Amino acid sequence: MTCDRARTLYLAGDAGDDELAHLAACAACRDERSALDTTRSALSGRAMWLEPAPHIADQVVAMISGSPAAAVREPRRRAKAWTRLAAVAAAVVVAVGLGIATRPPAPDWEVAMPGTEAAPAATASVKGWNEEGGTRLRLNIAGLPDAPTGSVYEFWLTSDAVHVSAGTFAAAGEVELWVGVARRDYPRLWVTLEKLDEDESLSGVNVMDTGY
Amino acid sequence: MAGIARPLSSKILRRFAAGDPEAVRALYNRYAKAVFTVTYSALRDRSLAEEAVQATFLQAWRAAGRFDTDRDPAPWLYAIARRAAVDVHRRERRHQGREPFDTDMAALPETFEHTWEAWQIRLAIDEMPAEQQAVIEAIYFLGLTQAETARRLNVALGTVKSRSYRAHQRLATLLAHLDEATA
Repeated sequence: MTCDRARTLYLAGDAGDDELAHLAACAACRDERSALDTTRSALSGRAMWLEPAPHIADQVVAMISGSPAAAVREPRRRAKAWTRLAAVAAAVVVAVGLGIATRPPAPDWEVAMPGTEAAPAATASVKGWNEEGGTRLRLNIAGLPDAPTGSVYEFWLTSDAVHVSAGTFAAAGEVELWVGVARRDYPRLWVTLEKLDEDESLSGVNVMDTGY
Repeated sequence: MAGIARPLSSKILRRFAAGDPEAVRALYNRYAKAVFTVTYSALRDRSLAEEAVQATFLQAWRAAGRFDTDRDPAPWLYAIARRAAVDVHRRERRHQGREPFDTDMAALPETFEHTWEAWQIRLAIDEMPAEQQAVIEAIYFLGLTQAETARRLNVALGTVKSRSYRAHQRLATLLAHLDEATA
């Protein structure tokens, strides 16, 4: 009796007396029992076998293709120098080929977001582009200290008691975010300071806020 | 830690990092089932899970410029998928008025606990030959016996047994990988 055969038959639900005896006697296999049980349980669940509807793929690609990619996507931070140069060269070629097509359009709205008592020197302008499926946001932040080590700032849109996160950032300057809701439905824009831990609750430390 | 799924070609990953929408489709085709397994496991609602799948790939595309094309995209994509499910869960709780602001929202449902294992198992299934997938899907999802599976797939009972054995052997081999990941 090998460990491989005993585990395979146990996982398949076909373990006989010999395999069960091996699994009980073999220390390595005893250690595997819980993982085997977890796998059997997972295999029996609907989540393992259901699939997203076929049109979801087309929707994803359509949303991506219809967005101003260069403006929305975050900057490459680990690019090697030659890669950056190649990217610049490619961008020039595209710009020449497309004329002004790559110029960011004017925002659909812009609002000032002052600091709160927690960050009285902070101020930001928030520009928004209303797009299919959500809103692209560009923040220009000044006077906000860098987030302490182990924390980040999180940007929220709120309607009454419903809060939707648009993402996180660590320092003032220009920040680009995306959120899957419209500002007309979530008029309050605000920023909290959140610790990077397993706690999913909001900290309640509000550093900038437009109010309603 | 070695990845379970056969990685996409480096050419596809470079195109993905460059923002090519069709490379996103290739990434979707490879990982969408596993992403859906994660989001559906966590949310237990098809519509919400599909919404989280969309959010996962959109967020992946937005962050693609920071993706290291020398690395396996699977763990990176899993983290995005789980976060997307958490975001949808939090939003739904608040819409339902069950989780007002300034209350303790730390506890996620138990459905979020084993999503990493589910992700790994789904990737392993995706890597199996189609005939092995069909056998274990019939046994586990449809609840068929091996004899019933043989009739359904129009193959001999011995064929079902051998395919089932090889499929489970593959999954059992995966478990050592899971143990390493969760140790």
